[in-house]
Amino acid sequence: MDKKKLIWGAFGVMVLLQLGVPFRWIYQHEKVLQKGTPFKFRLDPVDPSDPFRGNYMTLEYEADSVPVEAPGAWDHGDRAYVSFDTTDQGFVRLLDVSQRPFGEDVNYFLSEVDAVHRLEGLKRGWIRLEHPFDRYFLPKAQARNAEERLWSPSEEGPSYAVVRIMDGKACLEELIVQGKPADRIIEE
Amino acid sequence: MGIQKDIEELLEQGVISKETAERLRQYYRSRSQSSRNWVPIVFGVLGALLAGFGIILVIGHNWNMLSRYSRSVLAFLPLLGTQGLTAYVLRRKAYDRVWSESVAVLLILAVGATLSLISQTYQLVGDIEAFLFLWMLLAFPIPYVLRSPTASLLYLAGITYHALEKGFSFDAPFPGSYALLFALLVPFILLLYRKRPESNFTAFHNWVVPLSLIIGLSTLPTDPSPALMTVAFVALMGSFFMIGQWKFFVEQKAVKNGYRRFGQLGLLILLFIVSFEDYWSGLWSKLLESGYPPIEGLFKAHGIAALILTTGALILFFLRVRAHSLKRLDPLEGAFLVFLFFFGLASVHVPSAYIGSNLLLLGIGVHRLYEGAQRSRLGTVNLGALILVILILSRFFEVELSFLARGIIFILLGLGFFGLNYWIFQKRRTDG
Repeated sequence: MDKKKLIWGAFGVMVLLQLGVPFRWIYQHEKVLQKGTPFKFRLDPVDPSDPFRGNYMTLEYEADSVPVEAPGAWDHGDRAYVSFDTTDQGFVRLLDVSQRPFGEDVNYFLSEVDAVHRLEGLKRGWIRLEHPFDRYFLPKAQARNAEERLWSPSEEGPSYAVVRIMDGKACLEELIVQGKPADRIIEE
Repeated sequence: MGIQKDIEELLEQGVISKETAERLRQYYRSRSQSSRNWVPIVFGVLGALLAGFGIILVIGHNWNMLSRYSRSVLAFLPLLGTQGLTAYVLRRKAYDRVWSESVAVLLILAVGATLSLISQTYQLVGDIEAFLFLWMLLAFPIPYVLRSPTASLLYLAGITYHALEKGFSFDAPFPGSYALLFALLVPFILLLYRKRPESNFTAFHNWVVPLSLIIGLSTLPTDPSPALMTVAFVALMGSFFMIGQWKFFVEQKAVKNGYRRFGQLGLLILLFIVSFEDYWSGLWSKLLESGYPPIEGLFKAHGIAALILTTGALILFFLRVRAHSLKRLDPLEGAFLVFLFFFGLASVHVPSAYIGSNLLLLGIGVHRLYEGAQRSRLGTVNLGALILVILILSRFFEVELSFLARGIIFILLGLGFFGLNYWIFQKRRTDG
């Protein structure tokens, strides 16, 4: 084959892949953000820094653990489908966990097992989960300010993440810190 | 000038067409320009790197002021722009090294910038090592398309960083990711050695490639027992040394032969480590106690690495023996084989393996001394003497000796060093 044609062919494939991967990300996430149902997850945060993707807050949720009858069946890093409902205040409450997707009539999303705990003397235990929406990217100043507000006691309102869920796929839409969107918190 | 004259002659004789003659003239013009004008290439690449990092820093600051759609569109601009530049270079500046190298660097950085910006915009979560894996996977065609050794070096840095990040995480899946990413670049490295053997950029690969492989291998999990990692490393260092002994590398300046340097230093360090009795006593019992039979251990990441690297080293060894006879090979080229033998021997008789490993080092030290003395090479003599001295001193740690005895031995060793160097100097003077 002509060397030039080979190089142009390789260039074409390379361009398709380099554009295709981020386009696919956008398509998948836009679908969930447009058509998914929003749910509120209450949170507690910690703040590290990722050098290639800007600064972000690591989010920890109140709803991050589920009791299980057979903890031996689970291991760190396992995929876990988590079913949930909402409390009277409208926040997510986890119900059950399964290694397969739930039916259409059940609210659920895909998460990952972080740690497995066994209750001493019993066969039962519980699983702590690492949700796929546990980071929120913010400018450094805003991240610092948001974190300080989260830790300080306040009656301005609850802090939670708005997550859109569709067919088990979850996308973080917005972060609310003490009743105010995190994006709009400005450095005082 | 000689080449240009030949081209005119071939054209006159009708051996080549006008188009071929013009392409040949262009090619040799750019080659002679690039061999004289590496400075513009280096500054072009530096400029591209700085601009690229500047773009990433700006992007990494988070563009919260814009809507999600605006940010998504803007996220693609660096990538589309540099892809357009790449097409321009391929069409018009294919033989211009400054353009090719600079655009290649920009394109690698633009891929990372776009992935990074989309991740931020859509709050996409993933570990840094997964991000680097995807980035490098999308970037691997760049050195091939633009024939850029700089892009190749940047890619090697990227996959090495990916391996390091993965090595620090507890639950990194797919332990073979570094190996896959490295394998994707191997054809390019081989092409580089074939097409541009004299280039300085090619010479950089002689150092960066072994360093990347050493780091990549060291980040593999060693659960349940690290014993097989020693085998993997000895095979790897042995392979480096044998590659460095190949005619292609030996004929170049010594400072360009990173394979030989890494291989020699690495093998000597490993052989010193395994010369201690502590390494051998308990080697096999620990391996078996870990609960994994040796065969099952081979299916773990480091076991597979040890298998692949040992097979590669064996193939290289047989190729070396075929090219030159066994007698003409350097003892270090066969050191990994001897170590493998002792590794197996230790399962039935530990003292033999321990003594054997010390005799191996002794043999290498004596060989270096002898070879250095024969060729009046001070560096080789001193290396041989150093190997023997460290070997003796290492055994000091294992044997109970009085301070007086140790002091006397130290003095004798020091006098021996001076005597040896003096003798070589005198020999060189009399040999002229």
